[in-house]
Amino acid sequence: MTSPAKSITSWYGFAAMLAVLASMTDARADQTQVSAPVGNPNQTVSASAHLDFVINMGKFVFFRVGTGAYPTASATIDSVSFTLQPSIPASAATPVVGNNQNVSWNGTAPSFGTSATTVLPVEVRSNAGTISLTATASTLLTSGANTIPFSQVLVSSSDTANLPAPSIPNSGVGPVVTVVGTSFANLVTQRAANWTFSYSGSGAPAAGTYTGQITFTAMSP
Amino acid sequence: MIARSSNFVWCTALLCAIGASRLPAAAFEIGVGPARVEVSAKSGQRIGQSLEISNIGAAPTEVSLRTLDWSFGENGNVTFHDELLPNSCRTWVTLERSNVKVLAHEKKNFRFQVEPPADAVRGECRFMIAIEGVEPAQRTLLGKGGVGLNLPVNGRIAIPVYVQLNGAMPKFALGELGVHVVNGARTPYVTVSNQGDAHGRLDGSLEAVGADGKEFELVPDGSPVLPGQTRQLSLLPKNTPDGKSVAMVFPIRSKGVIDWDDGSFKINAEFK
Repeated sequence: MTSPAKSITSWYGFAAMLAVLASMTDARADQTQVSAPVGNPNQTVSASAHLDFVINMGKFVFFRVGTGAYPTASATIDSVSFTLQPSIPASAATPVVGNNQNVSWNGTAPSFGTSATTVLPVEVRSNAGTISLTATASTLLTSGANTIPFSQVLVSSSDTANLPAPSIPNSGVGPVVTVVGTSFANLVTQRAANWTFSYSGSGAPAAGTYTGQITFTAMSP
Repeated sequence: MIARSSNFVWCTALLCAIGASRLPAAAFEIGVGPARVEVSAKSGQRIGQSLEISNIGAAPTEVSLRTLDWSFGENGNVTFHDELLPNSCRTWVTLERSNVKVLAHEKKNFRFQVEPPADAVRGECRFMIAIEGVEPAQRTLLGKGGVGLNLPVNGRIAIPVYVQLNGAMPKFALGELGVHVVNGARTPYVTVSNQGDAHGRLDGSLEAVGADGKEFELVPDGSPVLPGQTRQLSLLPKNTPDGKSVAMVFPIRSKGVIDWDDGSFKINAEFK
C-alpha cells in the first residue's frame, strides 16, 4: 500500500497534471512586414511582432478511493486480503499452525473473525476551490432480516486536520467535511490520507455476514 | 453436539464463501473537468456541454452517470436526492449515455444537453451529474465475534451544473462581519445575503495586519450563496509566497475590496 507521504508527489507532477487537464493553450500571433526602400535595397531592416498567450486553465477535480500513486500512472489493482482467525472456546485460543497441535475445547462452536480494521487510501486534487466530501449509505447493513446501524462502522483519518473522513450515516447522506486547500488561497487542493475503518461491535447482533454499501462523494459546489 | 458441529461448518463455509467470492477491486481513480458547469441559457434554447473523464488507474474502468437533485444549506451542508425535488429541472437534461467505459490512463468526453422549455421562467436551474464507479473501489471486510461485515466502498464525483435562465443574476448585500470558529480555529467572516435569482460567489482579497504586526492577505470562501440564502463566509489567510501558512494573531485590521459577480464591497474592519 502506498503511504500518503509517498503518494503526494512533487509540484512538478501537479503542474503536469494541470497541463494535461487544462484546456488548449491559445497563442495569437501579430504580423509585421518591413521592406527596404526601393532606392536603397541593401538597407538593414528590422521588424518586431508581439506574441500574446492566452492560457485557459480549466477547473477539474480528481478523487481516488483505493490504492494509487497519482500522477504516476497507477499499476496497482486492489485485492481483498484478510485472514480468518479462528478462536476456540472456552479460552478463546487461536490454534497453532501444524499437525497434532492440542488445544482445549469446551464444545461450543468456534468463531472466526476478520481483521479489526481496514485501511482505505484516499486522495483529492483540484484547482476549483473548496472540495466537500460526504459519505452515503447506499444500502443498509443487513443479514437476512437482521440489520446493524452504520453508526457502528467508524472511520478515522490519518490526516484529520486536512483530509478528514466523513462520518457514515445510518442511511442517506452524511454531514459534509471540507478538504483544506493547499495553496493559491485555497483554490488548489492536493491531499492524501489513509482512512481506517473499524467496527465497534457494540450490542449483540445476530451472527452472520452483514452487507452494505458506502459511497464517498467529492464535489466542488 | 450435532447442532454445534453443523453451526461450526456453516460459519466456516459462509466466511470462506465471502472470501472466495471476492474478485479484485480496482481503485476509483477518476479526474473530471470541469469541476462545475456554470452557463447561461434562454427559454426554448438547447445548450450542449461536455465533461472530460480521465481514468488514471491501471485497469479499464466503467463509470455510471446520472443526474441528481441537490440541496445546499446555509451552513455549507450538501444533500443529494435521487428523487425529483419540487421545481427540479432534471427533466430538461439529456445525458449522452448512462455508462462510460474509460480505458487505463485514458480520457473520454461525455456530452449532455439542457433544453429549458419555451415557457420556463427566469431563474436558475441546478442539478448534479454524478460519476460513480460501477464496481466497488474496495471491499472492506471487518469482523468481531460471530459478526462479519462486508462493505463495498465506492467513489463518486459530483459535478454541479448551474444554468442561469433568461438573465438570472445574483444580488448580494453585505451583512455583519465577525469571527467564528472553523475546525477549531478562530476565523474572520463576512455575512452575505443573496437577494437575486441566481447563485453568486465572493472573490478578491483584503489586506490584513495581525496584532503581531505581520501583514498577510485574507481571501473569502468562494463557495456559492444560493438565491434567498444568507451565509457567513470565512475570510481565510492566504499562504505566503513561499507556501507557508499564516498564523493569525487577533485582533486583525483589514481593508480592501471583495468582489461578487456584479459588484463589490469595500471593507475596512477590525476582527477581534
